[in-house]
Amino acid sequence: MILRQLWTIAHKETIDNLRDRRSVGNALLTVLMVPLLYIVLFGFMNRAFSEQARRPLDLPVVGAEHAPNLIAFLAQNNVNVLPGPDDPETAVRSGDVNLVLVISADYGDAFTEGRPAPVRLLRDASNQSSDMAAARAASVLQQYSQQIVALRLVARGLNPAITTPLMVERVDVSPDDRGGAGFILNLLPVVMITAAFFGGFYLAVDTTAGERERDSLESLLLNPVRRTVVVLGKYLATFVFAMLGTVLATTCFLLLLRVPQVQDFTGIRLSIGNELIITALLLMLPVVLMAVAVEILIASYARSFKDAQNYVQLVALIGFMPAVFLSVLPFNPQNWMYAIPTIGQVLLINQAARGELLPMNSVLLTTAITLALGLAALGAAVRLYSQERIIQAK
Amino acid sequence: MIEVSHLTKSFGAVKAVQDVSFAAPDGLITGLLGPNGAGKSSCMRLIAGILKPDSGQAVIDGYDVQKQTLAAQARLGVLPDKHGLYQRLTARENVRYYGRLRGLGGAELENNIDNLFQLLDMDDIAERRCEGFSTGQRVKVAIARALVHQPQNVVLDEPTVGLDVMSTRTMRQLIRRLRDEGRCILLSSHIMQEVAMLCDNIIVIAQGKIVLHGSPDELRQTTGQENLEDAFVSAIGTTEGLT
Repeated sequence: MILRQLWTIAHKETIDNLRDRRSVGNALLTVLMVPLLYIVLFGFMNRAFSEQARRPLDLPVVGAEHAPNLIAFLAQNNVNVLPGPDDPETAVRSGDVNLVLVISADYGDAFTEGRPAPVRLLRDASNQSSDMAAARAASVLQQYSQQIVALRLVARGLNPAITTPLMVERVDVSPDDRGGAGFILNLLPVVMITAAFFGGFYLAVDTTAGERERDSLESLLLNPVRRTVVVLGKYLATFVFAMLGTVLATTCFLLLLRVPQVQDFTGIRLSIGNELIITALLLMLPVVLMAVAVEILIASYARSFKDAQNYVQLVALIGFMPAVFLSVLPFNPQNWMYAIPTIGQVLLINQAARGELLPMNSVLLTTAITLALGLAALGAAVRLYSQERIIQAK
Repeated sequence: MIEVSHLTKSFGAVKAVQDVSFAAPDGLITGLLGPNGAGKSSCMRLIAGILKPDSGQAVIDGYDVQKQTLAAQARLGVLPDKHGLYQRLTARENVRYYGRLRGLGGAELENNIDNLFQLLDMDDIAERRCEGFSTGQRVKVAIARALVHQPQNVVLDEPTVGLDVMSTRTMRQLIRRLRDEGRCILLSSHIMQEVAMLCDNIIVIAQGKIVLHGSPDELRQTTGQENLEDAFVSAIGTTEGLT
């Protein structure tokens, strides 16, 4: 009987919600827009980044006539040498140019005498768009410098290798093809948590505060149904939508990254296995369970539908903000972080995406704490529904 | 059979129901008459198990509403004063939802719904979504869902408010029919004529207290008034809030 009632309530809330085109549309949009948005955004960033690296570097030079060899070297190395502005410092500060190379009149003499020849690279460090250009210019100058060192040593009968006591070799050990582009997988937990909190958002509000505002709650509670069953029925329906949203967002995000056209556009080539999708969803399941419970509790407390919407929106924001921060901030996972719901899952899903073996202790800790929080919220909601003020709260 | 003894309920400083005791027997229509705000709805909510009394008890067919809430509610059909419907469900789906919650299903449930829709003359709106229903249509759906499980005890809070003449007649016929089937009917109203016309037993309630209780004849005798309306007025002391 209890199971039948549970099913009846969950079924009714599902049908009721599905017939509300606008709310279903909104939920779908929120859930699917996020992965799309991230892919488009990240794709553009990645393209811009790689294009900038390939394009010839425009470098205004003041005093080019003092160092013809250097200028020739620059031109050979993909640098487009331009005439410098009259007042280089002002021009850089005002942003007219990103970068100016100033070669002083003393250059030729210093060079011939074997003294360090002074060149100045002017840039405005507060102008971030100049970072890349400055780094490229400095690197080319460094190359020239090393070339001169080698020539001078050879002229004196020495092996240029003596100036390189250390041989530093950078080795990228990130698994297979997940180099810099693998960063996009940091966004996977963000996509999932957003969906977990927003997928059931409307239903959580509509079945609780909404039902009360439309004056059908009192009638519902006249039926011989345990209040626990009433809350669980609404919970079940909301959970189904939230979980569906999460599955949809996750698969949409990961499958899109597999599409060749998308890979061409974004320049991100990743091989994403189905087992990653499944692992991530399993890790996220407790978060969905918790998110829905907290949303139902908060919406039941609210005085009106409108209030409930505002409060639950806030809850959703608090829920997925940590994921957003963690995805962009570099940091080392500490053990205590696994004790915080949503943060623990973000760390674990990131690890799974990097193909690392998941630390079982942390998985259990995160899952247990998240589930406990969800259960506590659900218990509080049942308690609230057992009080007579649930029908009076307006 | 609904029995209420020493029922008391306050909301803050407002004493909504004060030491109310009465019995509504099977096969009779018992009317709660009182001005707006007299405590009729609070009284009915206490009987329905929606509110918890400060003291006293309500018993339905021997089941204490507080202690055996589910058993008591199973024997009760209630039309509350606010009858919100699920706008995106059809009239039939609204009624079916409640029927299922009460353990009905299959052909039995559909039969009950068909019978009620016929009695209430609402076959034309049966498969329509409740969005945009008139007050009369909404009340009909609400009454149908209160009666879908054929309850022995029926509590109706202002069943004819907002209904047009035809719907009011249909509603009265239905109430009499339920009585003739041997059910216990408790209805509340602030309309004197309606109570005088329908009820076998009348309880006059004012400021949360019972001021008069008896059959229409008994009321005339007690108050010494020939006219029932005069009897009510002399009992309550004013006509304010009555029509």
